[in-house]
Amino acid sequence: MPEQLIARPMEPLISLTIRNGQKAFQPGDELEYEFQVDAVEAGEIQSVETSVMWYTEGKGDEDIGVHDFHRSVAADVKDGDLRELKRFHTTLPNSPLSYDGLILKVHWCVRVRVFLGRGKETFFELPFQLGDVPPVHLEIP
Amino acid sequence: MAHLFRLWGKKRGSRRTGSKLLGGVGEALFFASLLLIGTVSLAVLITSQILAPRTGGLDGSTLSLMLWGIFGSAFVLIGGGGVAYSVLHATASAERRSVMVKQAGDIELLSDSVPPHKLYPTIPRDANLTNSPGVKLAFRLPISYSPTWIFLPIVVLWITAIGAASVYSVWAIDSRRLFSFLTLVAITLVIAAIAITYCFVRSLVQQIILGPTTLEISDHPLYPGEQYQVFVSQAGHSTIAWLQLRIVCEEQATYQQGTNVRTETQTICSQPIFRQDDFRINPGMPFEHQCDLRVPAEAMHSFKSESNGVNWRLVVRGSAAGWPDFERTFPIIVYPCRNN
Repeated sequence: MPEQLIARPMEPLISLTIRNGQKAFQPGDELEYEFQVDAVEAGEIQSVETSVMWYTEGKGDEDIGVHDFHRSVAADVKDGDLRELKRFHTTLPNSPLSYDGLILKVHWCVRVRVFLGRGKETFFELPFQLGDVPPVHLEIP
Repeated sequence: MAHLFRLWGKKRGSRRTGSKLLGGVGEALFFASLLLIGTVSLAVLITSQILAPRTGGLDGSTLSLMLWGIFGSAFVLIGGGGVAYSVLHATASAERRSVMVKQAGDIELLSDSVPPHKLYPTIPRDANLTNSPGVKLAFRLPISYSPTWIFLPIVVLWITAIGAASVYSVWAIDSRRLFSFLTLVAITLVIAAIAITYCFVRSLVQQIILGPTTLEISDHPLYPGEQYQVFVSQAGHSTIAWLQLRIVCEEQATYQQGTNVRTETQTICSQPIFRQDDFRINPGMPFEHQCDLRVPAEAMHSFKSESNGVNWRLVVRGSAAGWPDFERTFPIIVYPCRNN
């Protein structure tokens, strides 16, 4: 049973699923994900972006790196309806691996960003683990 | 109304008060005005030259026109670039901008001389670490850091300051104003300069007496959990109290604090590889030692992004009789575990 999370930070509602049914992957694994936008009129959505990406967290300024990116505008799809279920897959890269350090963390996620009219936008992301580097504990002899 | 047009904003962590949209519009308007000024001034310049072309050599008027042209072009470039940046920032998400930057980096002409790794993104290339063959082992690693040369720009700066203050002091003495404020400043500068020059010379002599440290490695890049050979050679003419080699991993984080850019490092791994106590190095008879090196099995790989990094290095530290401790570092690249 694949894990499914539904977020409702504000309208619209974004449903995002990692279809592999797992949260931990190794480099070279195939990541398959799908998403659907709901609770909003079709005409209100201007574009939708999906990214498989990593971002840093910690003491330093945030860096991001996008591994897989798709952008759809209304003109790209039949009837101009961007709410329909979409499925993508990508082969995960060799690096960077997920990392939980002392002043630096590297997170991987699938992020869906929906652009509405009047400059409004909303996003939802589903985290996953790439690789199996254990968290760092400070033990310097 | 006061809420909309606040004179000052506040910054709380990465959040700011005030409208992001208004800020973006203001920034775009600023750059658009620069673009407009540049375009108009260039248009006026070109029109004036077409209507009344000049002949003859380079005179003051020609130089003014050249300066006008240079400043006009600079305004157009800065304004145009700024408008393009503001529009891109306002209309594209962070992910889309990141993809655009990545695609621009793929264009050969725009990329660095050592392009980023495609098979191992965010891991620095090791081309500069493996271009020197070793005598005993496969590669001779380049040294990255010598604290001696930190003193050199400080010494130059101080000597310049002393020069300026001394000239003034001579003039002050000439003018019978012996104890002016600047004379006292000059004396202080001279004392500080003597101290800094002493540190620099002492460090330089230490480098000469200790001699060069060379480090060779059997393979590169390195993989967690795998074993390698390292060969250390320390030349010079001194008695060494202790000499050790360690493998060190540091996290590095660069961040903005107000208008300053700060970099912080945190050592997360520092493992000894070998240590030798009480021995003497004679000229022409360098200390040599070959031993095993194992990268910790569950280590994070080398990582480099714009503001963050994980850096691995081999560090030779030692203490020679009569001298301060010394340290020489050799960067290495660690890849993700092979079974990944």
